[in-house]
Amino acid sequence: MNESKQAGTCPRCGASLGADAPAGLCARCLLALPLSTPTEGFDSKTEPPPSIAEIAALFPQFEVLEFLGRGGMGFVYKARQPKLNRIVALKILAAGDPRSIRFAERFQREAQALAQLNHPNIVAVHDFGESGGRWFLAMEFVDGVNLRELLRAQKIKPGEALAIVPPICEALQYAHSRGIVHRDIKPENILLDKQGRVKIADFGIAKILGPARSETLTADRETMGTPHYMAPEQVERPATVDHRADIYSLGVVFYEMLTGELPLGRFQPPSAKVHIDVRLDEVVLRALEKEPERRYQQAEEIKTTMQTIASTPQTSHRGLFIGMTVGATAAAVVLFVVLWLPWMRHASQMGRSSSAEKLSQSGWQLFQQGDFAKARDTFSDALKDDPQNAGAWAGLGWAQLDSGSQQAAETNFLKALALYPDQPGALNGLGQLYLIQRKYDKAEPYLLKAAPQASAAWMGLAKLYLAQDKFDDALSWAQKLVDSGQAGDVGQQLLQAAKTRQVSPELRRTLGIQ
Amino acid sequence: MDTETKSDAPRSAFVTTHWSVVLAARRNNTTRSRAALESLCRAYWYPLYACVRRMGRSPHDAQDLTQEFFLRLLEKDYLKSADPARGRFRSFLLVAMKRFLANEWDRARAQKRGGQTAPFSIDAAAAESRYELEAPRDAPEKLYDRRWALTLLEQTMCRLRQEALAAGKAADFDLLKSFLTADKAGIRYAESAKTLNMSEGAVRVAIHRLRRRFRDIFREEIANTVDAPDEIDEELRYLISIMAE
Repeated sequence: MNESKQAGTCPRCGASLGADAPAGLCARCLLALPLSTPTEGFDSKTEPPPSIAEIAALFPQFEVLEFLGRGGMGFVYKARQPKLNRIVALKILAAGDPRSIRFAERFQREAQALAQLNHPNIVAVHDFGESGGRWFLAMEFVDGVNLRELLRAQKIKPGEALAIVPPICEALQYAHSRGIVHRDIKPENILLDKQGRVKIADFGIAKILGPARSETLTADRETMGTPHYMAPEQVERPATVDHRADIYSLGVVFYEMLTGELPLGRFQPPSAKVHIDVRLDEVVLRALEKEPERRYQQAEEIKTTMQTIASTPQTSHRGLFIGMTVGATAAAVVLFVVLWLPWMRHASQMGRSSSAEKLSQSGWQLFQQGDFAKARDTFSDALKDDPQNAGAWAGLGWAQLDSGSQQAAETNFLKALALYPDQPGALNGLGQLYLIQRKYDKAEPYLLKAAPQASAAWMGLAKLYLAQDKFDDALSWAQKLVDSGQAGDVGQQLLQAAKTRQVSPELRRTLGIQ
Repeated sequence: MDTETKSDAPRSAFVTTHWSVVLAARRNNTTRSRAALESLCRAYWYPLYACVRRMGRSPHDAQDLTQEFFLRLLEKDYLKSADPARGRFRSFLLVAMKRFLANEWDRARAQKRGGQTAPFSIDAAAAESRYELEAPRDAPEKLYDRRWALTLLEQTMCRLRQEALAAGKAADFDLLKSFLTADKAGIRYAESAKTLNMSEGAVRVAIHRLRRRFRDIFREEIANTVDAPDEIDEELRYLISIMAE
């Protein structure tokens, strides 16, 4: 009836369930249920939707085509406006609700607020009205999916996430500049149409800033919004909420797109979980600041910061790909982001001579072309000029490793680390070396230290853990490797082995592990 | 557990929640406020026990200590020192315990009254066997908070089951409850319908109602430990973040 991999694990998150699991269920997943009070006064989930005929009778100006589903405040239908010959989404609020007057007021407010917004990334409002006790809102029909569906299907790569955020920023900036705060930014409200255009929907809980209205419409303590995406001040001090709450929610969505998880409690920065530029950590974390004053003050700032990051590439090395295409449109543009830190330019490893540094760099180029002998000579020359160049020592080590001189390689890596303890090439090199020699305990710390800077170490770590039958650890590294799109067949094989918890003899031979 | 307090038919539903009753009656120790406090202590003594054990006390010491603390809490006027700004029972209890440890325990040790006069007693064996299952790395306060959250969840599930039992639907509940944590896409409605001898539509409605009831009861349980309705969400967020770590 309900699948679970083994007895005693949660079918949803896979965590193992202890003897203290409440009624045998996973505590974290129970807490992930929607636990805030609903914003609507009726329960759209149990109330059956009005039939198409019923809606058609109430609103003769529309040709009602099909029922699309239940939205935040009502039911949504696909309909056609014959006069204008266009397709719209018809949102219908339920009738007969004891608090319908309040909802009707809020509904009207939503419609008027939305009608003020005219932006390519905001779902447009065409019309609204009332008939037979039911209010309707005719909106732009978006033929596509919402972000929640994409997240569930796990179809978002980091590059795509990075392409989705800027248009949201533009939309928010536009709305904020007109005094309108969304207050319920979440994946369900972010739509993507078939052309890849991003559209924000359901400004239904909009709060209109600026000239205050004489009546206060929501005097009670109903919580608005969804707890996980709500800014802290939305929960704690609802009266003080302003546009910066949307920025927080965007931060949550951004984090979720990148990592697949919500930023709860003491969470890890995105770059620790996924293969992205570490500079993006700051963007996400700043949006997620608890104090509104510490966040980005304008949605636009987020966009420009991301564009700056995208346009200042970092040099690549060994096994990482670079490429950058920042499209002007918000379409399905893929933004490749470099993951390697600019260790090549790091002052402490450049040594004192720039000519030696140049030689070192050409040594790496030769190395990448496979010309180990020449590379080795070039590195030696570099070191003659400047024996303090850590990068050159690491390079020499690699050249020697690849031509089979393990002893010499080890010496040189250690020399590089003596000069610059964080030298990624040397860290990775020593890790790979010890891995080859099956000195797993020695290899592990080096590979782990290299990992944040060198995705090349990830393969080493996956191999390392597979060799030791530590399948869970192997899985996370192999997954990272495959997700980054770099590892090709070997990566897939590693991932498969980790998932099935079995390393076939052939694979062992191929990988050179025991 | 809360039927005694609810029978007083107050004006607003919230006023009957235990902690708000206790705080409201701060100076005047009414029967109702005592009963409310007792309910709370009966429900939440274990997180406190676990915390005390994690602070380094032996099982025997922890049992004595916890028992004595609750005795005094229920008899003395510890509530005078409850900070009105911090409306949460969870925080209050921990602070009161720490104060007790610092100031009174050493003296009390010699003249402890023992379990016979206590309104409820701590099952030492049960407490200790539960404690053995606790993750070893959590600091005392963290352990306390996590245990608190788990206690809330347990109580909620317990009440849900009781409701099902009262409605003669305990068997259905036992089968359906796992859907509370199921991924919507993973629920096999057709299969469940067969097993439960219900229509698929009925299964969907049942699951939906169960989730809503879970939410309502869980919020009620939290409400029992806070002073005002607008604190529920904050406490909820806090507990979620504690369990996420």
